[in-house]
Amino acid sequence: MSWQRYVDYMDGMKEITVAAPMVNGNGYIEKGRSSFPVIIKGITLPEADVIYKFKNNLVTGDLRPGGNNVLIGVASSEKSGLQAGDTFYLRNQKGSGDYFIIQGIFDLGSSAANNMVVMSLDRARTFLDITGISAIEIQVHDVFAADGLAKELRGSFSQVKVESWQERNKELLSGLRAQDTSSVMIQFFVLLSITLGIASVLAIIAIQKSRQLGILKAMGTNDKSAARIFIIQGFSMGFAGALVDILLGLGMTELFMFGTKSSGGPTYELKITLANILLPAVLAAASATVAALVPARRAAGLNPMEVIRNG
Amino acid sequence: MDDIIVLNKINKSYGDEVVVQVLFDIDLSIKSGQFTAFIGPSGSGKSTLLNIIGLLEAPTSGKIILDNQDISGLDKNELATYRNEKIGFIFQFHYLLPEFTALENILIPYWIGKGKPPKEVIDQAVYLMERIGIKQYGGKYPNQLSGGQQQRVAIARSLINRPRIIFADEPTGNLDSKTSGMVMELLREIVREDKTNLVMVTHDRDIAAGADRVIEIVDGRINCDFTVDRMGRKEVRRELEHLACIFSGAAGGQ
Ligand SMILES: Nc1ncnc2c1ncn2[C@@H]1O[C@H](COP(=O)(O)OP(=O)(O)OP(=O)(O)O)[C@@H](O)[C@H]1O
Ligand SMILES: [Mg+2]
Repeated sequence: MSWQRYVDYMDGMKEITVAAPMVNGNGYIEKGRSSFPVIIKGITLPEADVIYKFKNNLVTGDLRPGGNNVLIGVASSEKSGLQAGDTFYLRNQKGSGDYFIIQGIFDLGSSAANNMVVMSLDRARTFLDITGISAIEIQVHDVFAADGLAKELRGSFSQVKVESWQERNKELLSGLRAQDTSSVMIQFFVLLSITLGIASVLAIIAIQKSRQLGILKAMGTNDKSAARIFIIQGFSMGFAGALVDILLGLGMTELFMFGTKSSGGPTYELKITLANILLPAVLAAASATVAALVPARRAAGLNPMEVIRNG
Repeated sequence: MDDIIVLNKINKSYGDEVVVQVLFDIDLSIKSGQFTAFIGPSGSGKSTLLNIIGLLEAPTSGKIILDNQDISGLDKNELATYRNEKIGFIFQFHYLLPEFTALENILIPYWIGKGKPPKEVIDQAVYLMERIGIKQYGGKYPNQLSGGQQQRVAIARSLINRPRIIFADEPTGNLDSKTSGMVMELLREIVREDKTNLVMVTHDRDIAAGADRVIEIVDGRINCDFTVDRMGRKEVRRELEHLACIFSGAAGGQ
C-alpha cells in the first residue's frame, strides 16, 4: 500500500485535523572547515504548516520551499552564521551533498526544532535517498484522544508503527508529573516556613512591644487597633518580601537564560506571565497577613494592667 | 449632683485558688473640681483603687459612676474610648514610646482618639512643656532624657486631651523638690482653671497637705478622710503630722 493511501485514509477520519507526510534524516551544513549537524525534514504544504506553523514563526524570508530552496531554524543559522539568501553546502550521512539556498529562517521556540533544515518532501527523498517516506505526523482535534486513536489505527494497519504523543513521551510525561508534584510540595513547604517565620518574628515583636502596647491601650487604643498594627505590619512585611522575591526570581531567570545560552538556550520556551508573578506575590502577602493573626490576637487580648503593674 | 466620682461598695480580690481581697466595700463620693490625695501604707490598695476608678481594672463587685455616668454598662472598647477622651493617667513609671520624640509622645493620646493633631493641639503641647520646664526637649527621644525629664513628658501627655479627671500614681516620685513643685503647680492650675479633677496617690506629705481632700487607705479600707473645706487647711496639716510613721514607712517601701 503506498503512503498516499494512508494519508488519504487518515484525512478522511473526523478526529484528525491533518495528516502530514514527512521525510526525516540527518545531515551537516558544511562551511569552510566546519560542519554543523542538522536535522533534515522534508514536508508538504500546507499540511506540515498546520502542525509546525512555520509561516507564523518566520524570522525572515518566506515560506516557499521547493527545489533547492530551503528554510532553516534560527539555531542552525546562528551556529553557522548563514543568513537568508545565502547558499550553503548540505551533506547527507552517506557523504554526498548539494548546494541549497536559504529562503527563510524560522524560530519555533525549541532548540531541537530550531536546528532543522526544511525542504520539500520530494527533494528530501532524493537528497536522503529514501524511497517512501519516514513518517506521517498527525494532528488530532482532542489531544487526549490521541491514545485511543493510536489504538484504533493499530487495529487497521498492521504494517506500520503507530505511536501517540503520550507513548512517545512516556518518560518525559511521568517526569513532568513527578516534577509537578514535587514543585507543589516545595512551594507548600516554603510557604509554610515563611508563614511560620513571619509569625515568629511578629510574635517576638509583640512581646518586645507589649510594654508600649499596654500603655497605648491604657491611653485608649482599642483592641481592634492594637491588633491592626500587627496585621498591617505582617502585610507590609509580606508585601516587601514578595517584591524582593519577584526581583530575585526575575534575576535568577535571566541568569539561567544567560547560563544556558552557550548550549543553545533552554530546549523549551520560558514564558513568564503576569499571573506567574502576581499569584506568588499575593500568596506571600496573604500568608504574612495570616501569620500576623497570632501576635495580633495577643495584642488584642493584652491587659494594660499587666504592664502597668510590672513596670 | 456635682460629684465627679461616686463609688458604691467596691470590692477587689485577686487570684482564683488563693483569693486575696485587696479592697473592701469602698464607698466614696468626690466633689467636682477638687484635688484629692490618697495616702496610706505600702500595699494598702491605693494603686488598685486608683486603677479601678480610672477604668483600667474592673472591680470584683461594686458600682462606679464617673461624671454622672454609670460605667458598669460599658464594654472594653467603650471603656478605652472613655479613657482616651475623659481620663488622663500619670503612672509612677513614665512608659514613653522610645520610637517617638518627646513632643510626639505628648501628642499620642490625641492621635489615638482623633488622628493627626491640628496646630492648636500642638501649641497646647508646647505650652504644657514650657510650663514644666521641658520645652527645649520636644525634639529629643526618651533615651536622650533624664528620668525626671521623661516623667514630665508623661505628665504633659496625660493632659493633652484636656481630661475631665487626672489620675496620678506617685507622679513626682522620681523628681527633685524643685521640679516636683513645678509639676504640682501646673496640675493645681489645671484643676483650678479647667475645672478638672485630680486624684493622686502620694507618699509626699507636703503634696498631700496641698490637696483639697486627703483620704487614707489602710488594709483596703478608708481609714481617715480629711476635707479642707470642712476642717481648714491647718487642721488637715496637723492631722497629717500624726500619720508621720505611715509616710516615712511607705516612702522606704516604695
Ligand atoms: N495582680 C495582682 N495579683 C495579686 N495580688 C495583687 C495584684 N496586684 C496587687 N496585688 C496586691 O494588692 C495589694 C495592694 O496593692 P497596691 O498596688 O494597690 O498597693 P499600694 O497601696 O499601691 O502600695 P504602694 O504604696 O507600695 O504602691 C498588695 O498586697 C498587692 O500585693
Ligand atoms: Mg502603688
